[in-house]
Amino acid sequence: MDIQNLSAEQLERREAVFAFAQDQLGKRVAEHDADGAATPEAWRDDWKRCADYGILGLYFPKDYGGSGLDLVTTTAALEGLGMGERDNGLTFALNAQIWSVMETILAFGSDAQKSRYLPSLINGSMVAADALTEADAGSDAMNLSTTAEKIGGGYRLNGAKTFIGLAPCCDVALVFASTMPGNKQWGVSAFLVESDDLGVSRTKPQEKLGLRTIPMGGLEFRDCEIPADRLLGTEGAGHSIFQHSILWERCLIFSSQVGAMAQQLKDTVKYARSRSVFGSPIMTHQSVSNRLADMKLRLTTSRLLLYHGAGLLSRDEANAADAAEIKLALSEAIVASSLDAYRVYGGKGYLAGSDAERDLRDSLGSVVYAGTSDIQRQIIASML
Amino acid sequence: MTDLTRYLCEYIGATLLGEGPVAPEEELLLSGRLDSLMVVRLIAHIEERYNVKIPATDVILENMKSADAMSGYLARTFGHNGILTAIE
Repeated sequence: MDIQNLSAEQLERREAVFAFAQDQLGKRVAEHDADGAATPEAWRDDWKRCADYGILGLYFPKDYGGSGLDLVTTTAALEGLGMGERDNGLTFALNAQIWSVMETILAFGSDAQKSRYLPSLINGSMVAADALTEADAGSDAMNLSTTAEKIGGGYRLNGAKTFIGLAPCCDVALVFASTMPGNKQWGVSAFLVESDDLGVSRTKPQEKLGLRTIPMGGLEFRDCEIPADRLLGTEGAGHSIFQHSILWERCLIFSSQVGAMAQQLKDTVKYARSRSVFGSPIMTHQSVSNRLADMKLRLTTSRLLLYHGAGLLSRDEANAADAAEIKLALSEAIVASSLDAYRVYGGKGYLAGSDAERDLRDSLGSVVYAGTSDIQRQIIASML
Repeated sequence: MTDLTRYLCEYIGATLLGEGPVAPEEELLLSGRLDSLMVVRLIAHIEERYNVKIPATDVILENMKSADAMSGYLARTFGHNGILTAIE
């Protein structure tokens, strides 16, 4: 899929979402970023505005309250969101819920599960977390110690998850747990666990370097008993469900971040034209213009890869290496361009509360979450 | 041994493990002989070669633990309406 091939309707939708985001979102981003984990509910107002606008339902069937848009149009709309919204934490969390949890429920959920969760996640009355990571199972994601013991009529969960986005505030979590511990990753199953299920506790938010506007924390399960109908897919299919969800996440998690890169470049060029040193705008200094050229190149390639991924997923042709290439290239581009923007702004970019400083901190998580760059390279090489 | 089983033994051995054919009944997953990415490659290869789509929820230990198990799963799941003939 070539960005130039977006239809007039798709471009109009991207512009409409951009206008919505610019007009209604991110007004207190610097304040929320500074407060971090001290105000774990600060994101809710903008989240609700996004839900009311229909952001969370763009891709999902009308039967569940969504808009039923195709994947490329949805990607274009989410790119528009990133262009207009300065809060990278919010757009990250929205994309994470959409691609890691909601799409997984759509793909593997029973009719009853889809009817119970998707409408509420779309209208914003429920918030979801993707609860995979454990303290001793980061890159080795399926090496889980959380167990789900089969009991009469359901399962009993014990264990703990950490580094989970929105965990301190979530209403439902996609939880991966071992139903057959001796079978390693082939004994993992996926469950939908609600935060008010007995035995579930949410930890306090963890302070972090970037994406500070959304809370991250842990979930703990102590003899948490859930009914059998919370099993997602079949028992023992957790590994395959994870492979599916991580494929979608790696292809599309940066949908809005690509829009943010476009806005970042626009702002940085504007600054480089207005800031003069030695009697001329710094834009005319080759060292600065080279950085801007590199940022433009990264934006172009990131866009191409993003829509390439959306196209592959639309045609059911994406594989693990495709997703790893997209995740690796985009995350590294986001970090590199944020660092370039910071260098262009100089001392202004070093000040706490500036967009350049916040963007740089926000960017750094991208080379860690959804699999580090090291892991993406390992996947790409192993599929050669 | 069916032709499908024989092919899977050869493909897994030669392409994924870089050795001779694996035994049809050899356990491949819990033993760690095939890692997650090898299974992803294997599934993609089977889907392309036989023009079938294997649901993610079918990629479980019972169906994938050996060449025999994979062959049996494919025959049970896609061996209708002449597809088995294509696979064999």
